[in-house]
Amino acid sequence: MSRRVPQGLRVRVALVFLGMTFLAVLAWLRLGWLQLVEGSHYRTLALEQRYRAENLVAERGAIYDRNGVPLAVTVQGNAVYGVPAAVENPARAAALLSPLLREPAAELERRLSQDSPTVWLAVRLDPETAAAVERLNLNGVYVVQRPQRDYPHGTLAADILGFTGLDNQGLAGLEFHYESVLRGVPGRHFSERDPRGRAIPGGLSRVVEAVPGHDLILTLDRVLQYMVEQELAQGVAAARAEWGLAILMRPHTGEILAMATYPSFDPAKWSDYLPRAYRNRAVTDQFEPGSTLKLFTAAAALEEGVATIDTVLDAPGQLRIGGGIVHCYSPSGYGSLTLAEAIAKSCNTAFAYLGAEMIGGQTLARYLQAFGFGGRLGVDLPGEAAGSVPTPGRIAGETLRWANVSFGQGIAVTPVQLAAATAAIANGGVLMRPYVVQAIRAPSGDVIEDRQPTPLRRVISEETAREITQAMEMVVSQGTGTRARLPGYRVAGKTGTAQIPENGVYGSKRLASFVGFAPAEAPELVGVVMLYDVQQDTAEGGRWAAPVFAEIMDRALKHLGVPPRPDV
Amino acid sequence: MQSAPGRPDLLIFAPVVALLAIGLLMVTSAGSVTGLIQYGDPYFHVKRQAVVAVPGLVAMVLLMRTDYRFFRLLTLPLLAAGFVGLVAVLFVGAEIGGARRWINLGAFNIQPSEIMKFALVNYLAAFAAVRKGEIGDFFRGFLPPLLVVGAAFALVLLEPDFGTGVAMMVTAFIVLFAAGARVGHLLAVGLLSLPGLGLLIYLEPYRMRRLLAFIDPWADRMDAGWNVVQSLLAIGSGGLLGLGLGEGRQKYLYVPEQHTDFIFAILGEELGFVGAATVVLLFVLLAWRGYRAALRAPDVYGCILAVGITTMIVFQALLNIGVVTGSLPATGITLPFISYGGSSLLVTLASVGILLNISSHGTRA
Repeated sequence: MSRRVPQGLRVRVALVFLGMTFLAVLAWLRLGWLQLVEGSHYRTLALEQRYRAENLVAERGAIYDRNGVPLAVTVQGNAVYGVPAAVENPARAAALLSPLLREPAAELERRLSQDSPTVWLAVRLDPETAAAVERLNLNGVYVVQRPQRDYPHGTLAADILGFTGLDNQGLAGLEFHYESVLRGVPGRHFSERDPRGRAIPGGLSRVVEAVPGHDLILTLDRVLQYMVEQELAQGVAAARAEWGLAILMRPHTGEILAMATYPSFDPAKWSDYLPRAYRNRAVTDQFEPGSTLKLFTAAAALEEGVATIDTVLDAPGQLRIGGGIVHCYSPSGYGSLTLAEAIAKSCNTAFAYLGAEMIGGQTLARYLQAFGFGGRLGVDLPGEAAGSVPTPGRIAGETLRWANVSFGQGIAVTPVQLAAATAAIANGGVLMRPYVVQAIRAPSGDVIEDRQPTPLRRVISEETAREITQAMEMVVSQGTGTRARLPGYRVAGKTGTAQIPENGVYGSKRLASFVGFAPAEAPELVGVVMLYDVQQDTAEGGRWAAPVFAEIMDRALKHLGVPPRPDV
Repeated sequence: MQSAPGRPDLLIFAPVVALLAIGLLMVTSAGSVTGLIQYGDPYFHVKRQAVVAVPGLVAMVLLMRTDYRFFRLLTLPLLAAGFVGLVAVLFVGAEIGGARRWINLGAFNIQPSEIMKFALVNYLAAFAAVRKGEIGDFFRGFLPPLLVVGAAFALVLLEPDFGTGVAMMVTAFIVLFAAGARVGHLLAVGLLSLPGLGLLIYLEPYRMRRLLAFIDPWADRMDAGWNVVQSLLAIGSGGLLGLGLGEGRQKYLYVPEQHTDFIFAILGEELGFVGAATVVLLFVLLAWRGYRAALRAPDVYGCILAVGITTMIVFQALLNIGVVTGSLPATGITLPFISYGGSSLLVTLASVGILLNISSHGTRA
């Protein structure tokens, strides 16, 4: 057969084939370079960009009372979140969600319009509400199950427990103070993901498990806490006070069994309250204590030997001292009183002279500081205030100032300091550090830390303590505190009625208080009750705080199984 | 003069069927991710590809049995249809990503540039057969096809579809070279068009960015360099033997256009150097048998048509592989037989049918 395609053309076709083959050889070389020479390098780079970590939430530790009753736990709960980019009409979505989530529509609309991948709209929803949100079937609004903090007893001990934020991070109270203990260590889930973060099926995956947080075991007794809160609420209502607080503590150990502020707040809905509502005032606030401080002035006098419990003191209706005038509760005065009687009658003039002239500011300040006033005790609760004791030699009108301090004016103390100082009298003279966490326990059940009572220092001798106790019994049996009397128990106590300074001037507001312990011969419990701004004709601690103390003490002693004595 | 047809060349048929099979497997694998995300069906793409592959194979067999010279009669109608399609697409084409490349006909999309590629090759073959020996003459042999090709190129650029335009232009030049055009003419046109091409790249910011990203893709790996970098990471990850069919990771939205323009990257990752080099080998085999058929063609028309069809397919494949391996600047162009895409597959298989018919008329060299 003859060739029908000219030779020149044939050569060119052959050249085209050679050219194509040359390009194919280049492709082979390139592939060989990429896959065989550089392959492992590219493989590593590719894996690195796909292999990413996602945090795994660690289960937050629980909080139990001293008998193992849960006070704060973590449960799976319903939460609603929004993906702003996917919401078609934020205003409409907000209007529909507002009644269900009980949030203002404007606030929800603001969150749904944020330039953020996801926004939380509500947490801790009950299942019915969550189902209602799902039925709305809104684009970009979703319901998820997520761990959330639950307080099984509602508002019980809210001021102590505090609360957690949206990401279960502690924001107040023990939740905040023990954040590092409760939080645990988040885990990491490493896996191969696509650029939008979705897991690649069959990709590499490695999980570093989260380490759950530790549990706190408190010194609180749920039952006592409930009793205290109940009695305090009634006491605040009866006295028509703005608010009140109460502390129940074991004198020999410093364990706080109950501590309450009323009115309180609901930790599950903390954002509905003003910040001041969730302050634990027993620890964070300081007040001029008034006459309850006389106990410590008297203790200083006995310990220093400047007086005995039977030393007779002048008790005029008014006393000129250091360029000022001090008034006794009784306008005509009592003439003269033994130190014990002066405590029982709570006469300011007798104490003004005792403190300013017989003990002296220098010594008095030293004792008050030894009792724990003017400095933080190291309570394991957040925001502890230090209070303040005047510095001797550095103040104007020194004598008058110390005269005032002797009966509780011109000095600021925290309620927990008052409880600890009273406990020092009750336990025979040793200041114990108050505390609320008695143990930290790992999820395995192993106790990580077992807290022992911490004696801070001996403040007074046992003998002094015993004599002050006797005087405190007189307060209750025949003095200003007779409303704290309990059948079957010997009660030692001291009343206080302090003027509340406003803008540096004493106004009409009164702080009614009572401190004490029982049984006086073998103290089991120390109690402090304070009622702020009592709105009654009379605002005395003996009239309003003492009965609250008595009710609390009576129920608490019986709950603890302290037998009443038939002879009292 | 009619020659009795013999047997078509099985060695053209074999690599095409092999490439088609590999293509369907790779579309199954690479198309599964976006199929699931966009259509809720991981097999969405392979189902549609199979639906086109069957008529494509039927068309191939029918045309294998149709005397190729029939198409010489259709030279001008096909060319006219190509131009009408390219003009129409500018007005009625579906706009996707800022370009109008497809005409939507209900169940099917037609890509006029695919028709034009074959129409041009067919026209050049017919032209070469008519002006045998005059192709070396600038005005009689070189300028007329240059103007026709240039017009088609300009229309494709208007869509815009730079990659297809370049593939078309280079294929046309190779065919003209094979048909006897003077190297001097080709070089002169090539050199004269360089400033124009440069201007086209310079004026279109995304082309400029792609060019810069080609020079150093890692410098802008999160943006303009992303495509090339992800493609390189996929191919490199494959190593010698690959991760295994379906086991690729980069198709999870790292490699863009993972079942169309960049399917070769997923192939490289899953089938390794062995698989990727085999694909190149199959195209070389097709080239060898295609050009062999050209050399044995009974007439100049058949010869140049075979050169055109073979070049059209093989050059586009090498261009695609060059882009995917980061050896050439990124342009949107598919890998024949393997990439997902209906019109392209249909036209390519039909062209192979014609090539097979030419091979059946072969004479002993």
